[in-house]
Amino acid sequence: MEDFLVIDAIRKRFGNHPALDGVSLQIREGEVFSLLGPSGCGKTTLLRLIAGFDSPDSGQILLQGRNVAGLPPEKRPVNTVFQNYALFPHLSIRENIAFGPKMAGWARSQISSEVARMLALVKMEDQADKLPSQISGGQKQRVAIARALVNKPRVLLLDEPLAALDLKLRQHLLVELAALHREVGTTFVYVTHDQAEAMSLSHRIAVMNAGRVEQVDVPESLYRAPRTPFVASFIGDTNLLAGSITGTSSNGCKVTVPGLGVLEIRPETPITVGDQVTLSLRPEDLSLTDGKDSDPSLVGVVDEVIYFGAFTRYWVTSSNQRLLVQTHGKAAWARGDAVRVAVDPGTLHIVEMKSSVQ
Amino acid sequence: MKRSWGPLIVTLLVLVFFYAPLVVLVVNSFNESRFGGTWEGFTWKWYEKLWSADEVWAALVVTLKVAVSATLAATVLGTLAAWVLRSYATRLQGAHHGLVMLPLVVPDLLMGMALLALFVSVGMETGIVTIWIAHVTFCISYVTMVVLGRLRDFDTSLIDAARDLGASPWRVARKVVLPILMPGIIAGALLAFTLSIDDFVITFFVSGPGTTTLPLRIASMMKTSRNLPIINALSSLLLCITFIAVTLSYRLNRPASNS
Ligand SMILES: Nc1ncnc2c1ncn2[C@@H]1O[C@H](COP(=O)(O)OP(=O)(O)OP(=O)(O)O)[C@@H](O)[C@H]1O
Ligand SMILES: [Mg+2]
Repeated sequence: MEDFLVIDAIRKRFGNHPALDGVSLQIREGEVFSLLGPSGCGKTTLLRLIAGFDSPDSGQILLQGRNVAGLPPEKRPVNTVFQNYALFPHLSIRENIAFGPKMAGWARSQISSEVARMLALVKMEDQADKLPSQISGGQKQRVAIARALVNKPRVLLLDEPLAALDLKLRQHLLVELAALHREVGTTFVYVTHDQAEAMSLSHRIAVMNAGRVEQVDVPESLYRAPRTPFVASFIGDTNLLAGSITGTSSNGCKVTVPGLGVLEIRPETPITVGDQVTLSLRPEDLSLTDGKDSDPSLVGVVDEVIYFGAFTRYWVTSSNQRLLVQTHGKAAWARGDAVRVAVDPGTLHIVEMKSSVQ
Repeated sequence: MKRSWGPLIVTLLVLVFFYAPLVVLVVNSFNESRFGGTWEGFTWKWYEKLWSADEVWAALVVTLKVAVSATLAATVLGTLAAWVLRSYATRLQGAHHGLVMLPLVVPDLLMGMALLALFVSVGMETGIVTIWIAHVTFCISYVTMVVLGRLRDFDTSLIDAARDLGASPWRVARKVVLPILMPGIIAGALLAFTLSIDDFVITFFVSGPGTTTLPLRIASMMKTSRNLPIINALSSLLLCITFIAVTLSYRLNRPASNS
């Protein structure tokens, strides 16, 4: 169902600063949908609007077709996992999880059985009678999720739930979170500024930048077919190169890129000779060949080599641009070598286009 | 390392300086001697005389009535003031803060005279009500100060969390905010209570002919009574009560540290 949770042209400003500048999203039932973007791009602001802590200046939020504008947070079928967990310090873990059901007025027996089920789900049965100050950060995070999920929300909002944890624990909990989602099937809206986190957990990702959504897509497409320079460089490493369309070929057109020569490309949008474009080239889609006998304008010099074990990265300088190239295995070239950068033509992507005809 | 006697001597001097008067007072409350200059033997006599000194007990009742009711009112108002000072960021907030805290620095003498002038000008008869109003006025500031200290550590995202979990604003206050602030509120209340019980200067101005609080009564007994040592006995008792209250207040206001 495409229109389970619909964010429609939301704007929100703080003073003169637009935190959200016309954001529209359609979130499907049961998916893990990530909001990914750098610090300050408005992720938390959007989450707070969905939860009901703030109201938008304009635009609307529809949950299962119903406008939630008039509903205060306590009436929305949505629960939040806060970035700092926000566990109640005066209540035990068990009482923290039971808080929502108590407010909703569930029967006592139902509360205790559901809380027990949640404690088991997040593997916290042993710690149930401790206070939040007596458990570790990773455990707090699990309790925060259990406390939200016990209410059986239609949508679970998670605001950077792993940001405060160390790398090892983060990777571990990411796997647990994915398993948890398979088990409960609740729609997750997951906020993060960590692209690896978003890529590994999400069904779809909205990449945000400065209060706007740049692209919504499945992780694979965001990586392989970024539609803006920002998305291309935010998701993984990339080389952004300027080129111009200089001709047509049998099944596409020719683009000339200084330092790389003439490349073939199959553009997804109509394009005419003379257009200026920006291309995204992933480092692993590039390779190096011996530059000795080539056209000097296409030859670069290796000026940095870093060996990572499974792969090697080279920085190659040619005619005023610096390219990052990644190859499998150990280094085949050394600093100072003259090389030619070769491109796998199927991997080229236009991320920006300036038409020559106005 | 050379062992130094300096710290020990200083510590002893400080202890003597602060606590010698209290020790003398307590010892004298058990002293046969009327004037307390010399030790003439142990006695419960002054405590017995105190027991039958009706005017002292009448004053104590007034003091307790005022202290309990003023503490209650000041605790509610002071807590609300602290909450508002913390929750709303307006440009006037600095001024509000200053106004609430002003009574902490205004000399009691001034407060007393000002309050009396006010009561006279609005035609209020001085008595237990005016004492109560005066005590509420200065106690609010102390409660606010203590609760504000506690609020500094209060994580406002707990309020969002509680609402998110289905609590109405009223239940957020009752189930989350109040329980977390309670140690600070009680500490503030105990402080207000002890301040109210032994206030002399302000009470002196705003009390009426018929109503006397304990501190006022003691002061007048100092001048007239032949049974001066019963004041020692009374003071020793008050000392005990105050000590207990302050200890409780201190314990409660320690940040909750569970390892
Ligand atoms: N209550 C507020 N008052 C004023 N400005 C705010 C407020 N909340 C957010 N902003 C501003 O709105 C912008 C977006 O903030 P937001 O918290 O949504 O960012 P974010 O994407 O969650 O960033 P982060 O990854 O750092 O958490 C920021 O520039 C921030 O300074
Ligand atoms: Mg944020």
